[in-house]
Formats: sequence, C-alpha cells, structure tokens
Amino acid sequence: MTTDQFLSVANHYAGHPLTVKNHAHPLTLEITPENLFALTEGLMKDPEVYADQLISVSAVDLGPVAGEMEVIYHFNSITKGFPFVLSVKVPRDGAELPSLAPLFQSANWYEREIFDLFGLGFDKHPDLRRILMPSDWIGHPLRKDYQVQERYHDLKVESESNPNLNPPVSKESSFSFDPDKLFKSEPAVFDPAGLRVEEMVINLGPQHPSTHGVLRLEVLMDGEVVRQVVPHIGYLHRCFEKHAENLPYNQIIPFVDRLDYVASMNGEHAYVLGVEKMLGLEGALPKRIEYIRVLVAEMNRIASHFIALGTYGLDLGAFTPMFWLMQDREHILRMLEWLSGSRMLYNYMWIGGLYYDLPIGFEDRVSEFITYLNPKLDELDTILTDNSIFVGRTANVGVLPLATAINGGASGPVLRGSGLRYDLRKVDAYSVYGELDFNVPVGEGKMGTLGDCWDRTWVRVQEIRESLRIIEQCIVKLKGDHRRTREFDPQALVPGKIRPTQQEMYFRAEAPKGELGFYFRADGKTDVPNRCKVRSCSFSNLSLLPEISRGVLLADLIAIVGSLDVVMGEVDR
Amino acid sequence: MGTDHPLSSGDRLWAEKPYKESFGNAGIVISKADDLLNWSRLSSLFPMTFGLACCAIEFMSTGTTPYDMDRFGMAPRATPRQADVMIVAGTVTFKMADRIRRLYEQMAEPRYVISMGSCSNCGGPYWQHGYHVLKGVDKIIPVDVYVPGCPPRPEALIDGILKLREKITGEHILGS
Repeated sequence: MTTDQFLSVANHYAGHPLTVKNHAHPLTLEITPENLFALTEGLMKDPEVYADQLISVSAVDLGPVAGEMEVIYHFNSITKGFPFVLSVKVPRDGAELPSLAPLFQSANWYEREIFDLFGLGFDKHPDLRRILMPSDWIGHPLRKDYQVQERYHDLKVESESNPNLNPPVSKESSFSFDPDKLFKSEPAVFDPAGLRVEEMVINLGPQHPSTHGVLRLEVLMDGEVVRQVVPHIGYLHRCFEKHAENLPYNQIIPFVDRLDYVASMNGEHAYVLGVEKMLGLEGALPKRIEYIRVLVAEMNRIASHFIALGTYGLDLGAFTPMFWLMQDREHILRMLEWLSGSRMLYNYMWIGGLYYDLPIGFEDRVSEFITYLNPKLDELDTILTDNSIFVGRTANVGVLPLATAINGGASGPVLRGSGLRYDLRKVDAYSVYGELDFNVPVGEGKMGTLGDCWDRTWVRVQEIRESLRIIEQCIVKLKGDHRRTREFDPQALVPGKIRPTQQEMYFRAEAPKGELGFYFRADGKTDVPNRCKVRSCSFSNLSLLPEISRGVLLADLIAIVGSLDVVMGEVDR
Repeated sequence: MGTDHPLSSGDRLWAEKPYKESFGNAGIVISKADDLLNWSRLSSLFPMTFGLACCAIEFMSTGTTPYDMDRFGMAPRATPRQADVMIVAGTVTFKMADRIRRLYEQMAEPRYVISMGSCSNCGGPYWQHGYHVLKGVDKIIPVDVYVPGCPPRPEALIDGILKLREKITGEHILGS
C-alpha cells in the first residue's frame, strides 16, 4: 500500500483532509481528539488498511508554557506491512481522550501507563488505575515540571541536591513497620467482603520464585480453579524514561542494557540502530561492524532463551535443565566478557560503531561453541521439550488464540507460538539480517492446541537452532569478506557529538522476547532526547495474562506465566 | 591433631573451625559452645531467594552449576521463615521497600542481610534521576555485608558470603 492510498482512506474516515507531520517516521497524521475513536475504528476495520495491531502509545509533555500534551498512537498493519502513527494534541490539565481499550486490548495497559506517568485521563477506560507508581504517590513523574515529593511513607525521597537524608538503620534500632501502609501502596482489587462463599483471593508475589522477578498476581480462586488474575507491576520501576530525558544519547546505552538484563546486546542493538537512523548513519557503517553486532546479538538471544527455558523447567518441577542450561549459558557469558569486559551488561555497541573489535581468536572459539552446542540441543529436547511430564504440564494449557495475540499486542515467541510467521528480522530486514539465511519457526500445535504453552517453548528451542545458523554465517563472513584488517577501526564513525536534527522516530527490532521499540523525539538543539519511550515486549506480552489464564488450575497459572517469559526490568522500565 | 597443624590460627579456615584442641585418637574435641554454634550456623546459611533485578541473574549463576553455592551449605529457600540470610539482589524501589522490610521481619533471628550490587548499596546508576528508587536498602533494613559491582560477579558474591561467615565466627550467641 502506498502513502497516498493510505491517506485517502484515512481522510475518508476523518471526514476532512488530515495533515501529515513533518520529520516524523513512520508516517504520522495529526488528528483531533474528537476524531480519534472513529478514525481508529475505521482504519482497524477497513479492508485496505486493516490496522490490526496497536503497538505502542506514548505521550509527550510539551511543557507548561505550551500547555499541551501530545499522545502518539503507533499502529501496525501486519497483513499489509504498513506501520503508521496517529498524533493527538490535548490540553495538559483536565483533558480526557477516548479510550481505545474497547478496540484494542493492548490499549488497556498503555493508557494506564500514560495516566500514571502523565496524569492524562481516558474516557470509558475499563480499569484506570496507576500501574507503575504506587497508588499513593503524588504527581506524575514524566511531566516536564514534575517535582518529586518530599516523603514517601516514613522515608524521605533523596535527590541529587539532597543526598543522605535517611540514616542507615542498625540492628538495634527498632522498626516502625505499619502494615496499613503496605496495602496503601498497591491496594487489592478484590474486596474480601464482596466475594461469594466458595471464592477466595490468593496473593502471589512480589517475592515468589516462579514469578520471574517482582511480579505480583492477585488471583481470585474458586477452589483450585482460577477465576480471574490481576497482575500488579511496577515493583522494579527504575525510571528509565526520566533518565533518558536527562542524559546524552551515548550515555543512555548502559540504561538500555538494564532494561532487559538477560539480553542486553539485543537491547543495545535496537537502540543504537534507532539513533543511527536519526543521524542518517543507516547503512553507512562498515559491514564488519554490522556482522559483529548481529553475531553478538544472536549469541545473547541464545543466552536469553536458555534462561527462559531453564527457569521454565524449574517452575514446572524439572531441576536438571536449569543446571545444564546455566552451564551452557556460562560459555556464552565468558565469550562476551572476553569481548566487552562485562558478564551481563555490556555497553559494547556504540552509536556509530563498537567499543572494540573482536578479540583475536574469538571466531574460532565461537565455532567450537557451535560444534559443542548442537548435540546439546538434542539432549535438551529429550530432557525438556519432549519429556512426557513436561508435555503433560504444558500442552493444551494457556492457549492464546492468534486473534487475541494480535489484538493484545503480543510479539516475539508468544505471537509466533500462536502460529503467525512474523519476525521483524525478516519483516524489516534491519542491519544485515536481509543477507542472512534463516527460518522463522512458528507453533504448529504438535502436542496439543495451537498457541499453548508447549508451542511457545518449542518456538524458543527452534529459535536457538536458527540463531546458531545465523552465527555460523556471521563467522564465515567475519573470516572471509569482512575479515579483520590492521586499518579497521570500529570507532571511526562514532560521532563526536550526537545531535540528531529535529525529528520523531520510532525504531523497532526483534529482541528475544518480541518487538522492542524505541520512540525518540529530538529537538535538534541538544544532544539529549526530548523524549525516549520504550515499547517493551514483556509489558505487552504480560498484559495478555488475565485473558489466557481464566479458568485454569493454579499450577497451570505458573506454567502460563513462565511460558510468556517476562523480564520485570523491561516490564516496569 | 596437634598444635603444629599446617593451618595456623590466623588462617581463615582455622578460624571457622570450632575446635581448639583435640586429644589423640580418643575422639574428644574441646571447644567453646559459642564457637560450635557459630560454626554450625555459618556452615548452613540458607539464603532467601530474593531476586529483584539484574543481580538476581548473577545470584542464579552463583546458585547453579557454574559456581555451585551448595558447597557452602547454602540452599535457597523460598520463604523467609526458613531463611538465615537475605541476599538483596537488585534495585529497591519505594513500592518494593515496605515489602522488603516486611519479609525481613518475618525472618527468624539471628538473621543477616547481604546487599548485592550497587543499586541496593546506594542506588547505583539510578542515583541521580531515579525518583522511584530507594538509595540503598540499608535505609530500611540493617545490612551486614555490601557487595559492590553492577552486577557483581558470582565470585564477588561468594566473597561476600565468606565475609559474612567470618563475621558470624566472632559472634556470641549465648550471651557475653
């Protein structure tokens, strides 16, 4: 579909010609709040556009002087391969936008996030509560004039100008622990007085080994059967977007590492490619740099899937896979440490280059590792994925129908497990993925229904095999066409000052857990982004949990949470 | 074992052993009750599985095969009631702070806390703009050992555990 065709369709539903925003990528239309719902509904159902996915909703505070806020809706049409953006301006205070939750399930959590961090209301939203910050927090942190409150409960909120306000406590000092405050910060959704006799509420987390971090689930049970699940998140909200608004582009990379901390290279890859695209460096980098980036990103993808599979086995009671996979993951970590100097959070990819070239002998070590790992994967199949106990616990459990997955904004193995062959490495063919030969494994419903927990796990195992193929090809290239030379300087193109021109950019890449996107807004005057929003794959995937765990057993709920493979650092940001 | 044993009294391993003297082959060992109790306590420190963020992944590495925490007699427990030491591995946010304090209070005494990583030591990289990050877990619970690093290597965590064992060696649990 061309831009003109799209515009004519959009103008038809809006009732008047719409303005295309300058310096914005992908195509951005400026609309009014009154138009929003009708236009979205039209574009969603229109057979020519068929915008079936709401990828992300971001907001930008334009400041108290302008008195306006901009809300940006990122849509994607999977079938037509056409991403586009709708941008709405509203007054900063007292404004309400129509909620898109009736159309897109994924809008529910995105709008709650905007309500939380920007204080913008949404009309007819089913469940408008704070999502990341505690319920009794004052103010909306991502507003430009935000002043942090002085105290939270009995702790002073320390800041740069006022450090060390709270003295460290000692064993002798008595605690003033007030359980009421605990429940104020995240009140329960289910009222015990309103329950039926046979119902009860079970609280899972935030400290629980099978919630993969600090996820809290409030589960309404009828005996052993789950009636409803309400996830509570935000226990690891580390203010990434605030940091990104205050730091130069190159200094944000370490914070990007800490988003999805088991797949740092993939996060870095998406981030640096996005900034390079803004700087006009896309495709200008030497091929050797691109191949090294893809090589390390795929190695990290394998390490991330190892964690996913290992802890998933642990959730279901299988201890051995965890030990085996952590051992194999250690080989990858040691190679990446050799490369970058760090075991987990690398800061290896720089904007416009790399920290350093591959160490001498690295390619041979990786080749050895591939030879070692291939038979290990067959062992993994025997012990985990084809194990009859594992199949019994995961097949036909947590079935995610494809339509729900797309509508809920799922991506990565969760979406592919439901049977859609959709991988951004193929769709966008960013970096050098277009030159590499690999398959995109999808769930086939081999052991049960299509889209169950087993399918999602199986997709991950197959992705490890495909990643190994990509690594093999990268090694061939790095030893052949793009071999190491004395003159090669991986930092040659690193810009001294990173100052993109005034623009808006959304860049997406395929992280191990799904579509990782960065929305940048640069004003062209500073080397600090005006706004940097992360579209996190775990966040959207986790928002599907209440949908697919209705009516399952409590033990199966654990299986479903594990199969979604969420990393809380990325969910809460 | 005579007094000319190769491990001198200044050695760390010696300090962890409760016996001071033993007599011939009779199997009699003389020791202070405090030392014996300390030795048994420090040899089976059960940590609570308390993963908050990135450091928890390194904690997992420490606990599984590559670094094998089991050799120190440490088996992770999922409940505070059975745990001796809480390893705070990761960023502490305000939303989580009250919960951490509650879990700490649920642990039976004597209880210990290892603060793992820069975030739980002092806020780490989130120190400057992290409006929701508590600048150090020691503001809410007493910390025995701080392990620096972002995240600390498993070896660093193991060193922290050994430091805690040394600390326990000198304690008087039966009163002074």
